[in-house]
Amino acid sequence: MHEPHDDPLERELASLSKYTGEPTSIWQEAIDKHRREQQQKLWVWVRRPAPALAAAALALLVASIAVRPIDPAADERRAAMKNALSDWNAEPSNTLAARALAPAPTFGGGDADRLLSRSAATGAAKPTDTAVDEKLTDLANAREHIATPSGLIGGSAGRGPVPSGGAPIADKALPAVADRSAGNRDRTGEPMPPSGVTAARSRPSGNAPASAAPPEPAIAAKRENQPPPAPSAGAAIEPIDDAFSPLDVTAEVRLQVPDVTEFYNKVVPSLVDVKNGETFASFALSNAREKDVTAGKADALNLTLRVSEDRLPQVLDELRRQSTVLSESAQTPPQAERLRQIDSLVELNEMALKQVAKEAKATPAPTKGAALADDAKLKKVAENLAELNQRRMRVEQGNDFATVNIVALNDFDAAPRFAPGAPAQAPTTPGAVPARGDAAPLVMMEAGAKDAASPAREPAPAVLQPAPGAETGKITRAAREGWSSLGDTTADFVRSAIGTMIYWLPALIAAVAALWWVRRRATDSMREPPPQ
Amino acid sequence: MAEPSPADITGSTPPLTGPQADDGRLIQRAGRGDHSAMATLAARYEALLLGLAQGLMRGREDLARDVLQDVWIRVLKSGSAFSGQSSAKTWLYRVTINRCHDVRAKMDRQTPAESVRPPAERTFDGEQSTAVTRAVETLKPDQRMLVILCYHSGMSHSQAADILGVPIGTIKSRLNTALNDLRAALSSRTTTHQQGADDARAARRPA
Repeated sequence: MHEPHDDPLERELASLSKYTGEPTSIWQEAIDKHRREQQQKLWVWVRRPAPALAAAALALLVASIAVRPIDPAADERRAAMKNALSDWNAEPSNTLAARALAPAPTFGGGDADRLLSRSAATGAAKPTDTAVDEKLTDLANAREHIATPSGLIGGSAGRGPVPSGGAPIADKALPAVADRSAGNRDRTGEPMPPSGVTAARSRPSGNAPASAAPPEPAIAAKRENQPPPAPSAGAAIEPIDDAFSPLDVTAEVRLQVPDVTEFYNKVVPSLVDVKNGETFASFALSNAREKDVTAGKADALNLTLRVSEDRLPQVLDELRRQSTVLSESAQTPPQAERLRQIDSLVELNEMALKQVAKEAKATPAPTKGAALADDAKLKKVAENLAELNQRRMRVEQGNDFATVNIVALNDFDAAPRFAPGAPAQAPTTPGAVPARGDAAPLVMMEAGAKDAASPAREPAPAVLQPAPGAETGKITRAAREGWSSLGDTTADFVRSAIGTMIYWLPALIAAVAALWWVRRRATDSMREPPPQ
Repeated sequence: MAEPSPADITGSTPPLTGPQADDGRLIQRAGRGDHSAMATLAARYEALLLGLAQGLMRGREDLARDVLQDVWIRVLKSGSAFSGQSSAKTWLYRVTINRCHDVRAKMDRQTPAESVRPPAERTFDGEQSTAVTRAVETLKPDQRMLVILCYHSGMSHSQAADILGVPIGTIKSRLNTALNDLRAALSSRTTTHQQGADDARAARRPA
């Protein structure tokens, strides 16, 4: 303490900060002022002059919100623009390096011109009526070039009749596929009637495919009663694969094999002819051991193949030879119905095409973004039409792809069938009851017996355990894919950041301005130590 | 509004551990809108803070009043968040010093020439006070604040160190330097003044 101060200078210094005036009541004035500020807080806040940047950003925000009720179509244009950008990103020519280095597709100045020039180079529409007409003509020419002699694509009026000789594919190619499992379901998800009702026949003796196995009447009737989708002008342009899946020829087979893993490794690869475009759509190999936890045998295999319709009997025969078939079922939609569905989809796409053209003509001076959106729609319609025509040709020729759903269950009691070097197993005689340890018999599953017989053998999704030798390659491949994904993500991030600059830059400016404003207002309190 | 006595204010509160805790609780209650607690705080600190603000504002009482009003408003606004981990007196003094610094900075921005020159209406009278005041004005801003704070009523070096947020050794060394500078400024002024007086006497002396 420095009081009392002996030094005269210190006494003088102490007097500098000593109040000697009248008693004050400044605290009451402070309370009154604080109360007034509380009452007029909103008004004071409104009265304060906002920085110009903050005001501009606020006005921009209000305008962007207000434009929604004023112009309800703005959202659609924005979504269309987003789709156009997505399509642009999906083009193979946009390599990683090009995407990372190329300017972002913003809609001002040179970028939009570059996009439009790209669209023009790829035959896309220009934002003029003439260009739209040219585009329509190009599409029509392309479709006529692809179209079959039946005159499918020339519009529904000029479309030729569906070939009367278009008998169901099962008449020509499918083997006798019996519905031995009353629990099977058709592709529509509804349970199939019992065998007697569906007129499905048991597989005849021997492995020769039965000829002229008719489609199941229940399914056929159901499909006949289903009217084709009515074309509507506002119909969305959807990918056609999903729309077509119910029309596929489908076979579902339940098998029993001694070793599912061996079956998967040795038999399944021979089922698919990859050179002709056949594929493995999906598979799941369950490793949940039911009886022998140390044997390493897989319990079940879920497999979906996409094979040519003309090869379907061959595939099914191979399955019968290499396994014990528990049940089989098949769906063969009539060819006429399939063609009619294709025509309906073609009509839908043409309606969408006309709608796009109509909208383009209705807009005398479309924006560049709207032109890009129209371009994307036209492109999607063209892709759909091309795919539809290809599908129609395949259906007419009877070489469309069929779906084969295979469920292979492990028979732990059976002897090994796929021993190394062992010859392929002889075909199973249907209906025979072999001795235990022999080839598994053809089990006749009655209605309701399937679930009670093997509830625990239902294949559960699992991961296929790779061979030890493949582990290194798998790790290397995963690392390479990871790096590639990281590069793609980085490139997309950079592109998105540049492309969306028009959105986030004003927001950033607004945020900085608001922060600056708040800090300026709160300078006093920020300089003070926080209450501790 | 009649000022309640401290006994009325603390009557409903739990027992306090010391005067600092008492002040901290008063600040909290004032922040929650208890005007009686505010009155008690004012009775304890208003004169002290007003004197300090006056010293820091070069003796201008009007500015010191404005500063103190702002300090009380700060107490009303953010006093409820005061947790009492530090001294309430330290907090109040620091708020006052910061507010004085802001006001002086604002004045310097608005009228730099005028703010440098001490105002004519000063409360410090007398030749010696004026000399000391002018000598203090010649110090650097942080030295000036340190000198005024350290010689404020009842202020110890440790309390000044807490308020300014620097070690006590730093306070002592800076204060020593500031006093040396102050004495040097005063001696030079005295020499100049004495020389001027001698010259005036010599001029009045008949030849």
